[in-house]
This record gives sequence, structure tokens and C-alpha cells, in this order.
Amino acid sequence: MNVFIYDDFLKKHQKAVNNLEITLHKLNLNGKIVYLESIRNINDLIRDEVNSGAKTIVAVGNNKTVNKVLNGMMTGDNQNIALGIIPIGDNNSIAQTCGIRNEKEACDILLARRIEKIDVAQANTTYFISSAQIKSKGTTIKIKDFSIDQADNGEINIINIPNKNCSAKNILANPQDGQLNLLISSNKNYSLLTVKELELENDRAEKLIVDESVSIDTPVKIGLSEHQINLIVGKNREFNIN
Amino acid sequence: MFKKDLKPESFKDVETIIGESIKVKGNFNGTGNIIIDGLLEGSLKTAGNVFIGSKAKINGSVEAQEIIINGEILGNLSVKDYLAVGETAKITGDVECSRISVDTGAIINGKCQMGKRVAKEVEVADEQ
Repeated sequence: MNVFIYDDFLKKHQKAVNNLEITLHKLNLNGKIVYLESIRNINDLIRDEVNSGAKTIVAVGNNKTVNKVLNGMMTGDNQNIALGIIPIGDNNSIAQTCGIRNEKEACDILLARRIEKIDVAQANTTYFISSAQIKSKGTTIKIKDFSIDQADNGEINIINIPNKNCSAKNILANPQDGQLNLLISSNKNYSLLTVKELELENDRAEKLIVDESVSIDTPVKIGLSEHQINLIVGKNREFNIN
Repeated sequence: MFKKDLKPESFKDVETIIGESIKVKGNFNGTGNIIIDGLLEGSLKTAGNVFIGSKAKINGSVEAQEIIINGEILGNLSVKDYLAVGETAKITGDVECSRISVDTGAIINGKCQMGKRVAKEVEVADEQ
């Protein structure tokens, strides 16, 4: 059984939602629809739905929706449940990276049900699946036995699933290798390290942005969760899988 | 094995890059190939190879399978196999390696100890 979790902003995309529901019905991908605004506690909702037999939780919306659903799934014992994505509107880089370009394609991909186990990262108490960014000016990075400072203005990326920054620099990020890629870039040059965990502090009150949607205050401790997520992906995804 | 043309482009499968504007404090341990163009205050140890760029400064020891150095190091170099010292390199410390090449203009202030060629541990293990 599928559970479709609709984000609140979908009210502004009623035409796309209507077309989506027609396509889902044609493909016999029916299930329960739940609106985020009606959910008091997403962790409890997902737990109850899984206990009722749900096999797939589908985030219908954008990066923020995916992140909310991911966090709801990761706080329970949902090792056998799959996360699907139907992108609607803007800010859908996670879906794009997973080879899901639009809502129509998403339905075909849901039907094909190509599942990959993907590492999930954690920034303090917030899980994220794609990447995290913070401005490099004023940020100190602590990794195990050493720390990193940078003088230039630029950006720090902690990458699980590769994004456009990776392809531009020929960086092969693998979301199944049990490691994160740390990319520190400025106008002049970039630095790259592979880490399992790190700590960030910023003396300019800059926030860490995870999955391009959720902001977190520093100091932040980032690492990989011991549990992976089953993610439904498209054939044309942008990352290598072993 | 490094090619004679000792540039970063010939350095494949790089695990770690420390860029020019980066300052690392502490001891860094890796397993793969490393490029350093920034500042390291501490030791560096890897099972792979290390390229030290002309603007790099290291205040500590470096241990690797092979090393190309074009920058500055205040510390010892321990190289299992081949050490290439470029014309802009400045080494203040002792050097231990199996094979060495030194370009005109390089500065080395310290002892240099050389021994028999040491194969990579994994190759030795395979032969055994």
C-alpha cells in the first residue's frame, strides 16, 4: 500500500495535482493521501501507516517535503519501507538527482519500483539525504584529529548524493559508500576530503542548510546514520551505485 | 609510480585535496592520494602518494608511498619508495626514501637516508 504525503503548498498547483491523481489512478498506484497540514506528528503518522501495511511512503512536493518525510521515516523502524518522490513545483533538486524530472515520470518510476539503499546523513537531530551547505567565511571544521580554517569567501558542502557542484568538478560522490564528501570551494580553488563525521562552528551566525530547504544553527555535528533508507530512483539518476 | 612530468594532472584517483586558501591544524591520516596546496600544521600520513604544491607549507612530518614536493616543509619526509624534489621545494628536516630525484634550485637542509627499493605492502603480500 502507498501513502502519499502532500505538502501544503500544493494548493497552488491544483492542476498538476489533478493530473497526477489521474495518472496514479490509471497506473493503479492508489493509496492513502494525507496532507502535511493535518498531521500533528509525522513520526506517529508514518509509524501508524506502516503498522497498517504501508510499503511505500511518497513525498509529494519539493525538497522540503522529502526532508520532512525522511525525518519521519528515520525515527522509526522502517527498514523495509521505501521512500518515493513526486516532484511538484520548484526546489526539486533531490528528485532531479534521483532521475525523477517531473510528476508524470515520477509515477512511472514509482510503478517500476527500482529501489536503492542510500546512506542517510544527520546534522544534530535532523536527517538529510542530499547535501548540506554553509558559507565558509567564519566556519571552522573539526574532523577527528584535525581542524580546518579557510580564509576565502566561498561555500562548504557536505555531500551524500552528488549535486551540480560535484559534476562541475568531476567529483564522484557515492551515496552508498558509508562516507560523506566535504567540498570547500571558493572563487580561486577548492578542497575535497572524504569524512565519516565532522563538526562545524560559525562565528558569524551563518546557518547550515540541509537538503536545500532546512536551516540548522551551528554548532552542528554531522555524521551518517547507522540506518540507510530504501529510495525509489529513476534509471537516469545522477549518482553511481555499486 | 609518478610520471616524469610531475604535475597534478598526472595524479589520478585523488582522495583528498587541500586547496590554497585552506589551513589544516592537526594530524591527518589518509589511505589514498593527497594533493596539498594550502597550509598544514601537523603531520600527514597516507598509504598513497602525496603531491605538495609550490604554494603549500607544511609544519610537520609527512609519510607516504611516494611524494612530489614543490613547496615548503619544516619536518621530516618518510617515503617508502620514490621522492621527487622540485626546483621550488624547500625541505628543512630529514629525508628517508628508497629513490630520489632533486631538481636544480631545490633546497634541502637535513640528513638524507636512502635504502633498498621498497615495494608497496600490498604487492609484497601478493608475492608472499
